[in-house]
Amino acid sequence: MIDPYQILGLSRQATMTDIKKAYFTLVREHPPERDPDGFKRIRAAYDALRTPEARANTDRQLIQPLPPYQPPRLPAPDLTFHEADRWWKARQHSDLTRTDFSADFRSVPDDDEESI
Amino acid sequence: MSKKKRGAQHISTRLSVNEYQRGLQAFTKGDFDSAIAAWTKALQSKPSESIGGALAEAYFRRACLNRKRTPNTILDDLQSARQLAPDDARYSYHIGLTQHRQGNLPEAIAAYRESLRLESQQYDRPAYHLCLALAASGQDPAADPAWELLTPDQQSRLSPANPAFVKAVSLLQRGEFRAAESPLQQAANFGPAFAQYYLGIIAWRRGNTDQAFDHWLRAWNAGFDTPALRHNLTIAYTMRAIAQMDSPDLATTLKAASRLVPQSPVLQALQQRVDFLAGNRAAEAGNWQKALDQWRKVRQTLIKQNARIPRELLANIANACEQQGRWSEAAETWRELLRRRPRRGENVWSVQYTVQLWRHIDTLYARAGHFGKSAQTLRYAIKAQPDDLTLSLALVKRYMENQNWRSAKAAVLRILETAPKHAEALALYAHVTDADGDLDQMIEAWERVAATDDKRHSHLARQRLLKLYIERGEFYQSIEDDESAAADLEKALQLAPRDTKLHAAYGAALVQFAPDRARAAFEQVDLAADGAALIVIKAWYQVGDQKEAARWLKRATTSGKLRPALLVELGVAIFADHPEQTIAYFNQAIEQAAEHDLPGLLTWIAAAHEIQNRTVEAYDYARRALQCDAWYGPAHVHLGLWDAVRGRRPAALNHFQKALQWAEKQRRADIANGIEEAISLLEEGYMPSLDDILDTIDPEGQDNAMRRLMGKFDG
Repeated sequence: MIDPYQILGLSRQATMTDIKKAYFTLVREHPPERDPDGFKRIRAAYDALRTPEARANTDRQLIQPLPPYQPPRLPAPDLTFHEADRWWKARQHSDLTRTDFSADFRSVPDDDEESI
Repeated sequence: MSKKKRGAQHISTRLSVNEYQRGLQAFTKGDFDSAIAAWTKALQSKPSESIGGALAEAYFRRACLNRKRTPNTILDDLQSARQLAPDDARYSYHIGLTQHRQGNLPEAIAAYRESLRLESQQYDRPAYHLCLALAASGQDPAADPAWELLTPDQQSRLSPANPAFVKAVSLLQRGEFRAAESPLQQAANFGPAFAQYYLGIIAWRRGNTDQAFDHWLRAWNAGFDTPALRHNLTIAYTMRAIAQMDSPDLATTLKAASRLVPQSPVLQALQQRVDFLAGNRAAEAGNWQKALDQWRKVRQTLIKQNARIPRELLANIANACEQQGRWSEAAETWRELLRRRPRRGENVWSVQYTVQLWRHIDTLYARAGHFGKSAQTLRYAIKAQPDDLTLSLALVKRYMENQNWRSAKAAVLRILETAPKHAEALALYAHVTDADGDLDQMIEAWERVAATDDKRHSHLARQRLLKLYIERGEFYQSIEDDESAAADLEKALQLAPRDTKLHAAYGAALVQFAPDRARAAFEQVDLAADGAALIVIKAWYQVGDQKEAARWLKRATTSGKLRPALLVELGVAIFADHPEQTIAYFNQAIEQAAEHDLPGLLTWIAAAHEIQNRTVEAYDYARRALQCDAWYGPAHVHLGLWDAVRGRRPAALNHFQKALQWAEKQRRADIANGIEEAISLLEEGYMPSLDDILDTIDPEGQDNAMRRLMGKFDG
């Protein structure tokens, strides 16, 4: 669907008065005898918005733009020195970065020997 | 020991053995929760070192293998293991590791020392980690006795000899970041990841966030992974993504960021914007399916995050569903949007707008065939705007479309309670009564509509009433209640005063009990109108007034207004009671008929004679029809049937064949089918009847004339 707001040079939030005003301004610039196609386009756009009912119908069929973005308040970066970072390389060679400790597991007896 | 005590001990031992085995089974399967539960019970019923050892191992394995557990629960398990087996160095060592990972260095150091005390073989592991924890906490590891237990490589890692690195660290420790930049650059080969990270910190402190981002990314790619780096990179990625909001590079940035921080809500929100926009672009290009897919993806993500779904997104999804003909989904999505409409503040939706959307949803549901939901939607709209009668009327119409006459009647009666003279409501009520089929109620309802000032509805009502008065009048005539019939037909005449046949019918209703009024009514009849004269003449015959019948016939014929076909029809109607008069009418019809009408008229007269068992005359008239047109099918049908009855089979077949050719030429497949049926019956030795032929002709259709022509007068 062609966006009638775009044709009339208006935002989607335009009031009914804005719509009327924009229509009459454009019609004066594109009279039917000089620019019949342009006039038809402007007229069609105006018809699509001229009453609240028509406008609601049109709005429903238009692709809605992204809602405005509100940037979040970002936390401050951590710009301090961490002593542990100095030993980062040593940590890389430690068990601190290891995940598999199955070598540390021991078996358990098949029976509770003391009870038996 | 008493016998009783020995018995109790025996039972306790048996229980312990059973629990131990149950625990062992679970342990083998890796179900440490069940193993711990079973062995705890076993240990309670009989304390034993081996059960304690097994239970400690189960705690230990659960701590090491279940990564979903929190550090605190891991520590709890390890502490339990240490408690059960305090001499096992492994448990203290792993407590040290867990504390170390959490940054709890004093606790880690204590645990490593304990492990080192207990360990006699793999002493280098706790020793190395002890020295690492000491170094990280700012102590000199070389001053600790554990240092001597380290290998030369381990010692070298914990005492970096690179002077630039040492200098950089020293400056960083003192908070002199800018001064550390140069030694960090020099130490880039010794500790590239560390250097890149702190060069990033320095760049950020200087205000160069892009450069900081690049340094941090290099540190990350070199394997540097600390909580601070993750935190800082997330911020840097987010800032970069926000800066690229309108750029196509945004998608690439978000993809890269998702590998590092997949759960960042800010970055996820930005990704949703990218997908939303991709949907908009697809819709603008006319690819509504792709647009719908994109928008649905965004909605799904928002639902998963339990986040608010923007109204713009819902409107687009609903719009795309409509474009794709998914009426039901469109309706549901618009409803969701309505539920989330702003109800206060400057963007509050007007009642009119809300109601308009409810009505649109109603239409969508109706299109999808969900009349129940459609009616429900209208009820919501009515609730929002109870004074808007158009909504209530729409609800009645929706019920009527769904043939839910009971609800329709109830709904329209509710409207009429508040607006008893509302023309459209009255008309809808009248339509609802039409469905009941009660003529009296229907007439009463339509009379109320006709009495309104609304031109359109009262015109419609008068048209409907005309038909209803005639229908009820005919019904009264059929039960010989002529007075009631006349009253209805009189009302009908008021609505259609120029309808000449109606005047005739009205007169016919009056003729029995008010002949003078009947005469007056007949005077209004235009005898030239199709069938009107016939009604008048038949009416007089029916009351036995032949004189009056003859007078009207004369009037009709002398003015040339009674067509030959009507004369024949009149004759057929009175043949049984007035045969002579009938013959006269038939002859009169033949005399007046145009040449091309003669075969049809003669055949009709033949059929009428046949009905009266005047077979000779019937045969004669049929032959005369064939003299006029040798190929006239209906005449051949009659002659064929008569020949068949008389056993003249070849002659009958000959007539039927000719009749068949006529029917095919006339493109009357239905009649041809009937004749073929007759031929088949005859060839098989059966006797065909007129019904066999006529059964294929629609008795209710325009071919009634054809049925009568063939001699079937029941229509």
